[in-house]
Amino acid sequence: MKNRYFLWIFLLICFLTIFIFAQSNAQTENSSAKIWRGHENSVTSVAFSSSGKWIASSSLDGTVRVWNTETDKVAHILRSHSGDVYSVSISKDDRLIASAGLDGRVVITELSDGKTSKVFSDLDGWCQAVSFSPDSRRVAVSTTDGKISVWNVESGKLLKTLDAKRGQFSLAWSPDGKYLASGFFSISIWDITTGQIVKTLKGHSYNIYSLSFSPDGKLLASGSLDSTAGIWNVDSGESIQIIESKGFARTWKNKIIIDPINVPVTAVAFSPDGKHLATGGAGRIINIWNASNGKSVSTMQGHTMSVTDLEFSPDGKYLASSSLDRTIRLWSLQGKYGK
Amino acid sequence: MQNYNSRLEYEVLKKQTNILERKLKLFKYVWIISFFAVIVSVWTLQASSESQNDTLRLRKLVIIDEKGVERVIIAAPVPEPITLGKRFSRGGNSSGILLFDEEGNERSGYVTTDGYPNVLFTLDSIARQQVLFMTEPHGSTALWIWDQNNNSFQLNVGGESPNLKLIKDGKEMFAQPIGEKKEK
Repeated sequence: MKNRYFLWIFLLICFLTIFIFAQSNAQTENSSAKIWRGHENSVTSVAFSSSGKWIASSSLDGTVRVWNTETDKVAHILRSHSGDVYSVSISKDDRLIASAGLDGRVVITELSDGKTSKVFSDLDGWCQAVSFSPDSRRVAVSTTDGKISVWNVESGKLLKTLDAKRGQFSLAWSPDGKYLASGFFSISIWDITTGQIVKTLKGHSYNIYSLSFSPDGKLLASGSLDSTAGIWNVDSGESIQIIESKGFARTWKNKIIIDPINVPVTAVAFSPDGKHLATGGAGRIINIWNASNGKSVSTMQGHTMSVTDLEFSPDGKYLASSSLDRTIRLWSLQGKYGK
Repeated sequence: MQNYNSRLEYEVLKKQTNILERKLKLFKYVWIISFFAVIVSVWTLQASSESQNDTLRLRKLVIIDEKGVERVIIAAPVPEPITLGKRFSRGGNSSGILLFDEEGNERSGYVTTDGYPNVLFTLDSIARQQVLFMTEPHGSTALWIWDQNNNSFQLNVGGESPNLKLIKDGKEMFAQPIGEKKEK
């Protein structure tokens, strides 16, 4: 009789343990990332507004979607492009969205009502990357004909055409708005006033898909298809850190297996305090690194296909990621910095 | 009088019978002609639909998987290559077959190029081309294989003589024939 009593207690404890374990796993997945679905093809780029309230995403489905981070709902679906949209940027004053893609047009849209404000279309080839300057007055776009065009957003006047010779996959403005970095196989840093290259950063051996300046403008991070992310000293042009991107997440019999292989890096983003660097790519994993020593701080897994872009919320509490799996994920970074 | 009436009736009936006989004959002919017309048109339709099924003429055929991802494209010309959400420039038109992985990245192609009509077969990793097997229009042929670190094996035939190279870390580790170009 006593043995049977203990057996029942033992079974009850086992059941409770399994139940609590399953629940905690589910909570981890749900609480760490919000998943936004809606795009009908791969999501290519994400951008946070300065207020943190809006996220814009571009997609190969030809649309740009504007998401409300408070309600998790789509506020606007912009259908101004005819074909793939590869890049999206929100002006720092939270007024405008710039998007660019295969139709070779840069479309400027009002963030508040989703109405098209301006279209820049006098371009050869198609657009690879678009970025607003920190003062929100200029927008830069790189095209496959090797040119980088910079416009005044208000007047619509073409301010500069930079001849990069080859189509630049990525663009990033320095925080003071004086320099523009562009990436192909090497990184070119352009003085936007003179239109000249002031530094060329060499080290990557393949296409550079992503660039991000640290908030103080002293460091520049790069993500390359050569399976590394780099952190560069902008003044000296020297490479400070080379981070190898290892780990490819795949599903095997309903389990996620991480293969320890090198994978292309398509996205890099500095945290708003400049202490951390987030990277993502073909491994479908997002890593957060200590920017000063290149050590891994945190890893986030959930996307089922390659990560295409990353951006921190202005308060550094969230990280937005886009993926070829057609989703956008908004990751809560509480406890992810290893503090 | 009665005789006259019966003869008249007989004549009328005979006339009507003749008319009916003629109508029946005409109907028979119409029926036979219609029957043959129907047979001929059915046969013609069948023949023409068969010939249509034999030949499908189009510029582009796209095969998608259950998620709607484009996995195979047969086209003239094929679209520009796409890798990890960005589209590259191929640098010229090519026509043939492309294969894509489950994420939509181009991973292989079997095409002929316009302008200088090479025929080539490629196998690609997600990021780059790893195998190129190519024949030029006048017979020179090359097989090049790269690894992820850009080490390569290169076999070329045609031109002056066949040659073979192994390249590691950007340096020529093995070459046959050795130093042929220097001697010239």
